[in-house]
Amino acid sequence: MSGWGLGLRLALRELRGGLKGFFVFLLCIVLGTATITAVQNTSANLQAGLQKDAQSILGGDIKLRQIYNPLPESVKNYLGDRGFALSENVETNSMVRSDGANEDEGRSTLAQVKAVDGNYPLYGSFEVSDAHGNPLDQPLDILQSGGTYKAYLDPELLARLNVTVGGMIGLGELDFVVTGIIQNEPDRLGGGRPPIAPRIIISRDALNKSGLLQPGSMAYHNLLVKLDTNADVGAVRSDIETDFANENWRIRDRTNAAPSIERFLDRLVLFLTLISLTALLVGGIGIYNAVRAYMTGRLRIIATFKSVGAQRHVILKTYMIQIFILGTLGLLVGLATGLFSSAVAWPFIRELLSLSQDFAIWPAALLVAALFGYLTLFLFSAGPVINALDVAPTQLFRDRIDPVKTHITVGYGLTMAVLSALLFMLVYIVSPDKELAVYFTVGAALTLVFFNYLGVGIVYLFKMLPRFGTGATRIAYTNIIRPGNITSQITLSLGLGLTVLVLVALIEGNFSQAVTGSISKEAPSFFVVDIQKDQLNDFNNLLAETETVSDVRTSANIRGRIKSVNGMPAEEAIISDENRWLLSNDRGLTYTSEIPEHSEILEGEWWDSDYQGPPLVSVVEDVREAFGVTPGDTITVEVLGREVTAEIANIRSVNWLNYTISFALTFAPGALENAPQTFLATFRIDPEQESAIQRQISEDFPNITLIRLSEAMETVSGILEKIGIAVRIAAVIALITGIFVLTGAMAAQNERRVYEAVIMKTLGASRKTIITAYLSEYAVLGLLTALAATAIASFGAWALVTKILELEWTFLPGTLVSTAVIALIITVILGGIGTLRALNHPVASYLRNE
Amino acid sequence: MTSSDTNFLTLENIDLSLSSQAGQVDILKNISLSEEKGEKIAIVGPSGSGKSSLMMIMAGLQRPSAGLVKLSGCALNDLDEAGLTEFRRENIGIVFQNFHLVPTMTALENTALPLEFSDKFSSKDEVFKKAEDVLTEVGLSHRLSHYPSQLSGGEQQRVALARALVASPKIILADEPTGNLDQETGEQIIQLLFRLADQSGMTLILITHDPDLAARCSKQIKLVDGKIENTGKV
Repeated sequence: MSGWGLGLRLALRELRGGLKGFFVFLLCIVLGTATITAVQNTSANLQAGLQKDAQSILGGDIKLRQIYNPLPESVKNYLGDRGFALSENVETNSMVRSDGANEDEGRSTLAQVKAVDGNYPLYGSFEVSDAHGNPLDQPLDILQSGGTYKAYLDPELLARLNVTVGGMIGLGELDFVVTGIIQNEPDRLGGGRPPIAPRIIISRDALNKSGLLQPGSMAYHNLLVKLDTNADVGAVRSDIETDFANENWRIRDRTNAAPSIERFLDRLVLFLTLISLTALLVGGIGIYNAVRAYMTGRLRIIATFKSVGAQRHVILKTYMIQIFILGTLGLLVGLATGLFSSAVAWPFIRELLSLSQDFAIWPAALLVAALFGYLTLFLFSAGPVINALDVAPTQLFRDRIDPVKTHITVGYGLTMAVLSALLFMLVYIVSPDKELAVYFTVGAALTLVFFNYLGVGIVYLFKMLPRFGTGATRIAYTNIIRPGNITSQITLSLGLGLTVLVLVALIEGNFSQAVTGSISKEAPSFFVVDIQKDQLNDFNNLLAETETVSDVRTSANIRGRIKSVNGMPAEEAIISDENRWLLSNDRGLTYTSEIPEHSEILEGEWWDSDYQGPPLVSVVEDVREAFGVTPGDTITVEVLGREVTAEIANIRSVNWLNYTISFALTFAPGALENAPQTFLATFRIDPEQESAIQRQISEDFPNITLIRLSEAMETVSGILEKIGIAVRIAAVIALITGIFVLTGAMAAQNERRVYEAVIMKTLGASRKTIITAYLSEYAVLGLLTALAATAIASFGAWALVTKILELEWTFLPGTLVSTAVIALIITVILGGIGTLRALNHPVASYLRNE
Repeated sequence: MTSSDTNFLTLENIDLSLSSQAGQVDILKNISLSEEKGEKIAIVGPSGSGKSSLMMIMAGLQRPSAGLVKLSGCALNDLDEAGLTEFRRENIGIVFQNFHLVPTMTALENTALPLEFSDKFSSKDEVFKKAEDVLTEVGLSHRLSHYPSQLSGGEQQRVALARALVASPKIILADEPTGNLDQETGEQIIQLLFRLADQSGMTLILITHDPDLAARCSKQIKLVDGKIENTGKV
């Protein structure tokens, strides 16, 4: 009788000993698996929700969208003749004004305007409530009805304008009565622009009369199409693209309803998954420690098995089955916990994104979590089990079984290699970003190895120091270097979790700093868009007459598309996927005689200030990377159907985050002056005057849109904060796992600590001396680990921030210091608890047992 | 006069040296002996004389640095680890001073272990029936489902003895089998051991510090400083 059956029988008998010693083991598996399960299942629900609501999100089965002008009647007739239902809407940004009881109370703020027709929405439900939260009946009919112009506002817009339902607001040249509060806008997620401002919904008729639609105004015209139930979306789309091949609009269908949202969510889920994996890997250390301690306690049993004729493979199967059973128990609890967390979070996420998807359990998500859990379990437990098999049965003739030293045999090495490869493959398969998967795996492995050998290195360095100190200091010093020290266990348990926490904090801090915190003294107070050509002088005069206004800069803004490069269609000419954003939408084009600020010429030459020759264009580095162009090559842009081909005169570097107006393509004078254009402007003003100038410009120039930098940064900060919460939670879980692992490592040393404390007390050491010794040991190790963690995390964060995010690196000493403090507190508290327990152990009883 | 070919146990020029932190240590030096089947042999000597090491070599648990070990016609030197394990399972029973029972297994399960590891039995029922029979023989039929923590020292040693006997070995090696027992219990164990050895014709080799026990054996081997000082037949 041999093999798996016998192994299972023996494993079940061994399990009769209970779960003593496996608390940390189980906790590590539960925490790691729960986190991955929660992330994966929530991600699956998100994807299902986006798919389920694709038509609502998009606003139709197919969406045609173009800037400046409505879509031509020809395509509407084409689609209408085929029996498809159509709806048109227009989206633009504009300032909305409210009047208070007196002039000082009037407010204005940026809003995203949407003007809808009577067929809106084709899918989903448009829900509006009155001031008391009661749903309005037929909100579209109310909007389209005659009399005063009506508007529905986001709750946030109401708050910003300090108006209520029934109050009056100004938009463009019209006044509107606030008729309702938007509760659900089904296609908000599918809009092409990020939600940087709250929504106002009006009728198309009102928009047409508001004066907001000027030539060159950045208004997006959407035509939404609802197909028959059985219609083939792909075929219809293909027909449109073929029959209207020369049109400038963008077309999307329901199979890709919200690409930017999906991309963002993919990234977020990936980030969270990787952090969860880190938590699991940290837990792996706890698994390793627990299994090693357990197997050390089993050496006598294994030696006995061998002495009565057990084959090595039977013993291996016995303990691996036991590990598998315990691991499965932990995994099941982890999966259940993860699902519970996902279920609790789902209603909030669903409401945030206005999805209709009910919470569901996704077997694939559970499978991924289970696979990660099992692979980590076996990767970290196989080694101690294999090592323990080497115990010699001759040890049974001695009073004491010597622990088997960790050594890498061929079998051990091969097993680790195979399991590691499988784990890497799984990370690679589930990651949408394969490059990041590779970096993560390599980084995690190197960090684990580093922290393991950090402990070895600390011991080595301390051994090289001359013996120093007396009393407590001496005891602390010898504890760090003695055989059987836990130095490596402290560095490994705490190091990885701390590294992740610091890494996340530094990346978050740098990103936040780059976007919101680094507003220098030169950053403008306002960005202004949609200044018409005939308004420019009056606008500049207004600013010139206003005190504290300075640094007024204006640029022409022409919207166009990159059509071709060196005669080749742009879609075929592009060589870098990373820069595909250059083709995804219309680009802003401008012309100037002077080299723009914050730009540096990398190749070629800038044109003379009085240049009058054939079209020349200056392009940024991103264009060079996208198409591989050099000075002398040609680029053709299309502006409202007219093509302009220009020779590349130079290539510039530009910092997109310096808060000035920057363009990817800047033409020399002479090429674009006659194209339909608006103007952009920036200016600075005393912060206390911001509200007043905003109101003034909104009243004098109703079509002009102002983006107040401080408000925009507030909105962005709010979004970053929400994202940051999820990421920080995952990182904290990684650290908590590390704390549990460290607790387990210290607990495993408890008997030894008790023995030492008993001996020291017997020899006359005071309580204070013993406490000081132990706490000093832990404090030194905690501090050294923190220093190492901050160093690694800083390097990792620097690399990610500068090389991948391409932002400027900001040194954040506060984060580093707080990490060191956290590490110190953790090790000292845990060490202190263990020390007190050791000290409270009665001396006499322990010596008597000896 | 017996030749090494017909003796049950033969050790020829056995040396055992082990590495330690203090350097190379010679545990056994030039040990040679030949024993017939069915003998009861006591290995005596002061602490550190190499008694346990000698027993380990006889059991195939320790390979000698030099020399030949033959047991029941099989040269142990020629066997690899798997071969030694199998040989031990079929031919050798070991009784330890500290019993070394598995704490999470009952008396019956502990006793059955060697048979479970063997390929000889195809059914679990056969294995446990045989184990039960042996436990009955050692007087523990009423303790089959008890765990070691529920048994007295003497009962635990009986279980250990049953485990050593269950595979019908040709030789029993006992390392201070009464070392952790009181005198009365120890005497019971020794009487049981001797009786069972006589019944089955097994060879019995035991290590003991007790001169009275040594005197009850048919032969004594005295080890001093790794060498056989004298060998006496009673």
